[in-house]
Parts: sequence; C-alpha cells; structure tokens
Amino acid sequence: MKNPEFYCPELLSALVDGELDMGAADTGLREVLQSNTVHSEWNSYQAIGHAIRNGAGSDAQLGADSAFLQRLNRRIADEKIMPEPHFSHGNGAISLLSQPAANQDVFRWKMVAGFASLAASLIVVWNFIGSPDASASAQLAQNRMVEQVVVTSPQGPVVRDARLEELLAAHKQLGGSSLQAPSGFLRNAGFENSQSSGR
Amino acid sequence: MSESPVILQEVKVVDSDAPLVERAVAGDHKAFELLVIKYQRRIQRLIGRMVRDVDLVEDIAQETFIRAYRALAQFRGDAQFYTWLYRIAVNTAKKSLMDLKRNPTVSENFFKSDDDDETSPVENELTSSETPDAVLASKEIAQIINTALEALPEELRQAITLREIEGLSYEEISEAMSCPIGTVRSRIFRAREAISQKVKPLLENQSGKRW
Repeated sequence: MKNPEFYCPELLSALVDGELDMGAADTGLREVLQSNTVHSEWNSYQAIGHAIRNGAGSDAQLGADSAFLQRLNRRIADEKIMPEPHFSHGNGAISLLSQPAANQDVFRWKMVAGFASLAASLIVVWNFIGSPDASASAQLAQNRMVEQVVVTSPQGPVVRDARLEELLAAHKQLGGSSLQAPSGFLRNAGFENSQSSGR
Repeated sequence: MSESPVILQEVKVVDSDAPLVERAVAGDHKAFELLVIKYQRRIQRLIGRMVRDVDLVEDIAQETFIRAYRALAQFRGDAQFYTWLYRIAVNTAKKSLMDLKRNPTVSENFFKSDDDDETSPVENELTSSETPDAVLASKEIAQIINTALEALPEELRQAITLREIEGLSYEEISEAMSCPIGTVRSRIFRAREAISQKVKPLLENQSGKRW
C-alpha cells in the first residue's frame, strides 16, 4: 500500500500533466487541493516544466507571483463575485459568445444610426421618384386630354382623337378626294346586294 | 534494408487542464487558483504586448481572471481552456484600451506602438513586471533546473523529458520506455520532486512572498 504522504504529491504531478482519472483520484485530489503546500508545489512544477521546455535562455520570468493571487482572491471576496449560473446555448456553442466584445457599448447605437440613415434615404428616393401609380395615371390622363378633341359634326359635338383628326385633315388637303363619298357608280359597282351602309 | 512505411496517425490533442477545469467549474475555488498560478505570467506577457503601463497590465490581468471566474459555468470544453482564457484577455485588454483612448488625459505612452513587431515571441519580451533583475533571477533558476535535470538518473530524466519536451502522454511514454503507466507517473513525479527541492526556495525568494 502506498504511503499516503507520498501518494498525494504524486497526484499533483499527474494533475500537471492532465493524467488524472478523476473518478478514481477524486478523494485524494480533494486532499491535495486543500493542502497548505499545494500552491508552492504547483508553482514549482509549472516553473520546472517551463524551464525544461524553453531551456535556460528564455527571458520569461519563472513562477507566479503569490501577491497576484492574493489580490485576486481579496477582490473576489470583497466584491462577492460569484460564477454566473450556466445557461444553455442550445447547440452547445462555446461560451466565447457570452464574452463582451470590445465595441459592445457603441454597436447598438451604430445599428440604430444605420437603420435611421437607410430609412431617410428611402424616404428621399420615394419623394424624388414620386408615387408610380399616381404619376402614371396623371400622365395617362394628361395624354388622354391632349389626344382627345371635341369635334362638331352634323350629329353634334363628338369627342375624337386629336391626332387622328390632324391626320385626316392633312389627308384631305393633300388628296382627300378618296375620302369623299364615292360616286354612285363606284358605290354600286362592287356590291350586288349592296344596301345602305347606314352612313 | 527496407524502409518502414510512413503511417499517418490522428493526433488527439488533449487539454491537460481538463481535470482541473472540471473541478473549477464544479465550484472548487482551489482548482481555479491553480489555473491562475499556471497562466498568470503567460496572460501578463500577452497583455504586456498591447499595453505599456505597468499597473494597467496588472489590472487587466486581474480583470481577465475575474471574468473567467464569473464565466466558468459557460465554458463547455469545446476548446482548450487557455484558448478560452486567451480570448477573454484580448477582449478585456481591447476594452480597456478603448476606454482609455476616450480619456483625453491619458498619454499615448500607455499604449504599445502599432509598429511593434508582432512576430517576436512572447517569451522573449520583457513585460511590465519583469524587471531586469527578475529576469536575471529567472535565468539563474532555469539554469539550475536544467543542471538538475542533467543530474537525474537516466530513467527519470528520460520520463520527464518525454513528457515536457516531446509532449507524450503517460500511455505513450509507457510504450516508449516499456514500463507500466504507474511507473511512468512515479518516475515523472520523482524527477519533479528532485528538481523542485533545489528551486522551490529560489522561486519563493523571487516572488518575495511565500504561498
């Protein structure tokens, strides 16, 4: 059976390497962690590992500063800092997402300003172009008004297409005989069963 | 003589902090303290690359571990613990720098120049807390450690070298040395103990305070 005084420090050495079977070593590890010398031993093992990996030429300071840890613990106690309760990210995403970003404070306002600028731009564009339906209708109405004229005919005032009236007038002027009423010969020539067209 | 074929094996990266982090997440404050001791210098060196001011590096390092302590329950183990801690440190440092830049009374001397060589190894840069005397003392300690390593019995030296330098697991070391895993664990522990006897007092003198 192993000497307990010898066994526990061996646990700490295995812990440095992450080679502990947590289930089997749980009790022993609890004792190790409560030991008065655990910080000193742990610090020494870490420094040894660093020096062996980096050789004697490294400038890095070996060993942690005990005062740093004492200040940290004092602050945790004074400010009553507690670990935040666990909340699930659903997909098991790493908690790095919960770490505040450097621009967290201003990001929200930047988003609001961005949307406001976009909305203002849309309003300006809308006013510049105008309502498509209204303008088209107005244009069509205007065109319709331009294109339609009132013509006095034997039947009374008749609304006719202005452009057509212009073309007809020009045609009459240039050679409008063809538009006159055909002679009786011509009228009856092509129609064996002609009847009045009701004109 | 025929050459043995090259066999590519999947390398599984195991987070050596996993057992300790598991206990810390479960509420064991001592386990968290060991993580602080392990990564204090590394985090300070990281922050020291971004910030010149001595006190500010210390404050940001403290704030980093405070934030990590608060968010321990959120650490799911999807990445290495130090990777997670690294991100917290960088974010904390950036936030502090942004807050300072908004303060018109703060001198530009607080900040590192953007022209600083980003490729220089962190281990070779002095940080705010690493005075030349402290660095000299550390070099002396490192020399003592490596001398003590050379003086170890062959099996102890081989075991701890395979672990610290080659990064082999206990299982791999047991295969390499043809001995049980328990023997590997014992040899590595005895090697560390032998070296620790020589350097522990020097480490405590360096920090100026006993643990």
